[in-house]
Amino acid sequence: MAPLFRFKTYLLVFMFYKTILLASTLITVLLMFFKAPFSSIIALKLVFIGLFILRFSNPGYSKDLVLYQNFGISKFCLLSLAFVFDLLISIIIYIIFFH
Amino acid sequence: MGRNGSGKTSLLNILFGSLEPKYKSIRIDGKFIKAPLFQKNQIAFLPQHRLLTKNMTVYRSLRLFNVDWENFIECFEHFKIFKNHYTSKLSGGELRLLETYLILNSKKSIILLDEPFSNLSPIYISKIKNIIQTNKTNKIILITDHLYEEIISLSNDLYFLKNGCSKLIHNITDLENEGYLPVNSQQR
Repeated sequence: MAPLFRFKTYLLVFMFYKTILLASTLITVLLMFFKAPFSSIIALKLVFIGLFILRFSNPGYSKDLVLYQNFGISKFCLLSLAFVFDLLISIIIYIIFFH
Repeated sequence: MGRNGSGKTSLLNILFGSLEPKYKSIRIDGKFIKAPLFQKNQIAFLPQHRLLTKNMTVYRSLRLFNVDWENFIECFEHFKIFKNHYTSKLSGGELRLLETYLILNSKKSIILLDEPFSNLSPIYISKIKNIIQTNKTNKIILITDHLYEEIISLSNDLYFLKNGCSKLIHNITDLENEGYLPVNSQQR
């Protein structure tokens, strides 16, 4: 729980996920534009996170997590926060532009 | 210390918590630690591979680890021009130096260094040794490296890993006896 109370955790999660976040947000906006149900948007984000889980289950890639672990952030915490970040941005866009 | 493949890196990874072994028992001051040690946020680990992401500037990496830029420049003046450079623009040795400095100066009580001297020029090895000497008075520092002379001069306790067991080493002769060094290496 401790990493959740540190600002640096959120900064690191953003650094980790920013490229995917951009792609995910663009696809989300497209889906919203075509009036796709919100469940499909959530599914899309789960697919992105699922791909990361698959990637980091490979020991060759899991070494990339050492930077985040140096700040007390586990793989579960990193990916969960990335998902929440992504979802929050989509909810905000939905409320502002499509509600 | 230990030969290639003896398990030095795996041991550090297990201690840090990034590698989950079948069985482990980690205790600090006699207290059993079940969760990965990194989750306590008291430990910093310099792995053998790249630590920092490529799209991070040198200055930003120092800020991330709460390390003072001025102190860093005072120690490694030639980094001044790299302040706003991405770490991907640094040479292998420069990156290693930066990462080692960051880990050693992070506000953690336990420091794990996996081959910190690899790719470093002798002058930088000497500077990093001085930083380790200063820091080891108030931190636990575990180092693995093949530069045995540097390690012997730095360490309070030296262990040799072989066949999954550790053995306390007292001098270079012990390393020769373990087959780590060629016989009569002291005379060279």
